[in-house]
Amino acid sequence: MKRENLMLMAVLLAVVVLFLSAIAGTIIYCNRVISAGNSKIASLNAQIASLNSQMTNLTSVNIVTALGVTEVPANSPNNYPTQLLYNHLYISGSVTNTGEGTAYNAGLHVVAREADGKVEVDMTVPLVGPQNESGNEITDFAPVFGTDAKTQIYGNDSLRLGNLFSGQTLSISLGIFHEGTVTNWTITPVWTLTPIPTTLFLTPKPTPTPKVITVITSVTFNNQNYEFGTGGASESIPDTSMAVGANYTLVIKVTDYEASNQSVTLGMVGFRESYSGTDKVVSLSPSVTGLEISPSGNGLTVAWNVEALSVGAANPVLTITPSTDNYYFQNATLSFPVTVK
Amino acid sequence: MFACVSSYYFYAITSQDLKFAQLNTQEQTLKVQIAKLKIANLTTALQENEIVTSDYAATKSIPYNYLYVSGTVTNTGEGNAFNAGLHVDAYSAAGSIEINMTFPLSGGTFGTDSRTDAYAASPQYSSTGSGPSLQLGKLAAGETVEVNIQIFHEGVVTNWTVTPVWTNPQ
Repeated sequence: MKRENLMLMAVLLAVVVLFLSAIAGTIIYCNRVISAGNSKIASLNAQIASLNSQMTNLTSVNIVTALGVTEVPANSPNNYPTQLLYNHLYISGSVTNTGEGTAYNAGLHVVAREADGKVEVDMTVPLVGPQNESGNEITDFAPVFGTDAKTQIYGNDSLRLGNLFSGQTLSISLGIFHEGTVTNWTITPVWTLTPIPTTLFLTPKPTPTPKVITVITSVTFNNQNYEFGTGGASESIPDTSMAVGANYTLVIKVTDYEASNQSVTLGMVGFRESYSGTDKVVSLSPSVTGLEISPSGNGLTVAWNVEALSVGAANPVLTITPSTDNYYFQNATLSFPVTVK
Repeated sequence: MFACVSSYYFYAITSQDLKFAQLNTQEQTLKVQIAKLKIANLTTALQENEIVTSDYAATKSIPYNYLYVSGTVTNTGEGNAFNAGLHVDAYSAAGSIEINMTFPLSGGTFGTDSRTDAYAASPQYSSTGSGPSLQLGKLAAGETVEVNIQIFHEGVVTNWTVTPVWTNPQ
């Protein structure tokens, strides 16, 4: 073989070796890059799993119930008035949200059957208890529901579901009137993790913007008139020792309002007791449907659904009648902020 | 051959980069959501009145004046507020501080020293013979509570600040 050919062969061999080395080097380098990338992806996946777990914990809801359920026959002597037309399933006790998140649209799904298996109750009721704390036996009833038009004759409270906050416990006391006699039942807490159950809407609906209610209202209390303009205001009540047996009546006059399902709240901050002995007695007499009274400490807050008030008329909404001389107003304020319920 | 090897690794590394970007976005989104869920924000609608007990027939037998704080506190944040309360500072006209305490949102009648504490825990104000606990509680996201706090104290206070306090979830 000629010397030139040998040289050419050597050069070619060197080129091939270099080429193969370049490929091998590239493969090794790229494998390392990909391996490092896979480690990084694994690390990110682990971090995301950890974050998802935190999210789950922070938004988790768990409703624990402690409920008693009784089928109350129509002729039970404990009914008021006695001898009702229908039996009712009475549910009482408490529910607690032991999770970290808010339970939206929380309620109890009740299914009750007759002995032969016929379903008489299959509905979801809100987490509700006694409607007010007035001490008035006639109005201090538990919310009641019916399963059809006939069994709703004893009242049919709103089935609108509410929220149960993290750690919150609610007292439950409600009755479900129904046909027949049920002998077995299941009570299951239900809720959603978002304020509006997405399954309700096949296509997204815009959330209606609550209208700010416009109310022009005057309040008469203890023979003194207080004028409130659009959007509410605050007025001072003169210091008053409340006479035993006298009736102090709040009269609200609503001139106009817009929108529905609104409430107006009247706060009487300075409604006081001179001491908190056991003989304190005050009668709070509501006279409109939907009145909520929550006396607490040295204040009193009352709220009305504005639709329960007659527009243009004087609505006597609350009468306070002290039975002892322990009650008085001091540095009191009637505040009438108009709120969106 | 070199072209095939290069193409293979180019696509492998490119798809990895794409996945990095997706995972990084997902991670950032989750971090932002979690950060929101860990932030509470308490807003208040409160009234405060200094009750000079000697000024009124019904309260003249009470030996101490009291600051009465009432209204509502709402957690407008997305996270639960732990150790939630109202910090109250109140000063006399001379500038001396008479109240410097944090009260729970559960409210009640409190004192600011041993004498006013004893009075707040007396049978006139407590059926149990003891004052309410100062233990702070939790206010869940979106929750509103009504607050009624009476603070017996020495002297007369003429100006004050009431500030909501809380700790965010860990």
